[in-house]
Amino acid sequence: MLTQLLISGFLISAIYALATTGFTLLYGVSGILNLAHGTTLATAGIVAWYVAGLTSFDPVQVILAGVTSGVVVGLLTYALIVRPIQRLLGLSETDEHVFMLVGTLLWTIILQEALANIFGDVPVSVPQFVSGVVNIFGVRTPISSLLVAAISWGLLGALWLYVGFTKSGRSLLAASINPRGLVLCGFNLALIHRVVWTIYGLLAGVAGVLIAMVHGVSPSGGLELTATAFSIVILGGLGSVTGSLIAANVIGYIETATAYLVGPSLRSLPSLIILVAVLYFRPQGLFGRR
Amino acid sequence: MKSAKLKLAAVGLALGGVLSSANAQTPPSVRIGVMAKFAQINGAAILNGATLATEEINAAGGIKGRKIELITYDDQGSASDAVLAFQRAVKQDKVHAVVGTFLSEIAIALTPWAARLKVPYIVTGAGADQVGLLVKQNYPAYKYVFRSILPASSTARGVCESIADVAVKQLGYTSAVLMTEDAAWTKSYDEFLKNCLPLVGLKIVETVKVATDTSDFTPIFQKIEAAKPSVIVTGVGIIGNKPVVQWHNQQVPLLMMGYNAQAGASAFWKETSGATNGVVTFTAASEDSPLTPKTVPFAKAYLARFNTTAAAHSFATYDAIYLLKDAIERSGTTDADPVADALEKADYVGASGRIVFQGPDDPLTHDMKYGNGFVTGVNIQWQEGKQVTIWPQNAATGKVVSSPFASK
Repeated sequence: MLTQLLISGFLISAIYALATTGFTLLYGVSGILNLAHGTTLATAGIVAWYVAGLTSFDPVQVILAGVTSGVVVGLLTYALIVRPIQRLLGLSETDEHVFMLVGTLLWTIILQEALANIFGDVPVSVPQFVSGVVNIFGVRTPISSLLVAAISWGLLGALWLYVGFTKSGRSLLAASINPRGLVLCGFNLALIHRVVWTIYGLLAGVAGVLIAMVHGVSPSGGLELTATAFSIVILGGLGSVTGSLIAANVIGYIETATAYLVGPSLRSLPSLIILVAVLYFRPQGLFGRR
Repeated sequence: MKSAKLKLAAVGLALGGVLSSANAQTPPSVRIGVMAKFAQINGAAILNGATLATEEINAAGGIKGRKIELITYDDQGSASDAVLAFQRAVKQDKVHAVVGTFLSEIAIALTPWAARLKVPYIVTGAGADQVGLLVKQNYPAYKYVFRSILPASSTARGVCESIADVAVKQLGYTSAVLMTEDAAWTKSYDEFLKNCLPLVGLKIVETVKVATDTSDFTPIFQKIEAAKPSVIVTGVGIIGNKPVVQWHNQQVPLLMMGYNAQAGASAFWKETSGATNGVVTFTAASEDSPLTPKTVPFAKAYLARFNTTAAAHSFATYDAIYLLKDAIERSGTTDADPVADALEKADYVGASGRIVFQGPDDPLTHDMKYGNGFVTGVNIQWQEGKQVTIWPQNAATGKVVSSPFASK
């Protein structure tokens, strides 16, 4: 039982971590809560599913299709919703936040309806990259789930290297700490924003494909994914990548433990209680800066 | 000037005469509303079934010379949207009847409205017994509501009978876990199976109720396996493909039988990317089982027209349109009361079987009679991309295969 719980918790936490990192990175660097996040994941998953069904199955092609659509949706969100709102003159900071929330929420609905119209509002699943199971301490675990965890942590590691050790990565970090200072040093903030949206799309694209493989995605399921990402990010602290990684694991394990020990239908209840408690006692989250 | 005006008036009158005589020559159409969430498999199945029946009837001259006009209402899977759409259909679009509805929660909400607005309403997707019970308890006020898909308890009976044959006799199974979704229709479904399965020799070792928004089935399958059953008996429709895909990915070494509302359509193979291989489900009819002379021709025409196989809801909706045609022809009018009375007396051989409705004194008023000589349904198993009919014996085209992961 304990091994089952540990393994299931680890697998689900890895996906949660990958799925929320882009979301929190975006907030950290550009201060935008993208409510279209879940639908961006769903778009990547659905496009990958569609491509997988077109020709003979090729995992590389499928992941490329997902990532491309993730990046395209990310950049479209930036160009059609975020940029025009940022350019509005005479908007106070609070107003801008509200406009951004409403804008991305409307964008979610537009994307959802478009997906439902093109592909049908049905849950779809990307075929497993590798089929088969392995036995880990008596727990039958799908090889593809282990692969998903490996891809997730690998990608997060790559992101950590990028942010910590490259010039362009460090400028993202700087933008999250003091954007005005960065502008004064001669950096082009708009370019940095485009870079962060591209990275966001990339992360969301991979995460979307992996979620579609492990759990399945549907156009109308996008908001639910946003809600999960949201509670993880609130717990970890808005804008803190480390915080959301830890929170993803906390939520992943608590959900799994609830499903095993209490009952599967109550799975998401404890994380909602935690969410309320965090908002009440520590609104900035575990590692929040803003 | 005066004569010019007169001439104009004369031309106008003549034109009016021509137009009105043209109107008189085309009899008014029979307007039928079809309602569901069309972007989903079951909603599309409902719309397609109605479309095919309408096209056939219109091509053959309509109903006593009157063409059928199909008006679509997307309920978005929401009861409040559905009630508004239903009111608009009757009051504004003046439909003569409404068919469709996949969710039981919606059908239950619409039933009193069909009575208030006095319009025949044939449910073709929702299975909760409550619909038939409502009609029985409020008869004759609710006499306008009928159902051409099996109610959940009859589906449960079909599942139980097929399991007795396929799982107990052919595969030698002795115990089961009952896994059903938490929804209105599974109440009567569970109740029936909990009584019936032990009677046919299948002990229920565990009952698992699954929330319809469950995303991770790993703990559920592990709980099921820990109970060491020989088979999983399912009752799922709204949940969609998640249990099936994760059952496949995790290679759960138990067969899934019972009722899966989505697995009846061939689109399900594509949506699950083949994970449905091995899944057994009860459904109204299948393309290769000649339940009536109309079954196979309908299934073939449906496949040719929509490029997917007909689901249980397609059969039900196709039959519903023909039932309306039959009732309108027998009563000689489209008025609600005579049509409802004619429907009550229907004895019609459709694509899913011989349809005779239960009367006011039967357990579920205006639900189809179930059993030999009426509607029975079939069991299909997904085998390498094909739906193979495995039950009943007289319609079977293949044999059941045990779990694809059993030996591992």
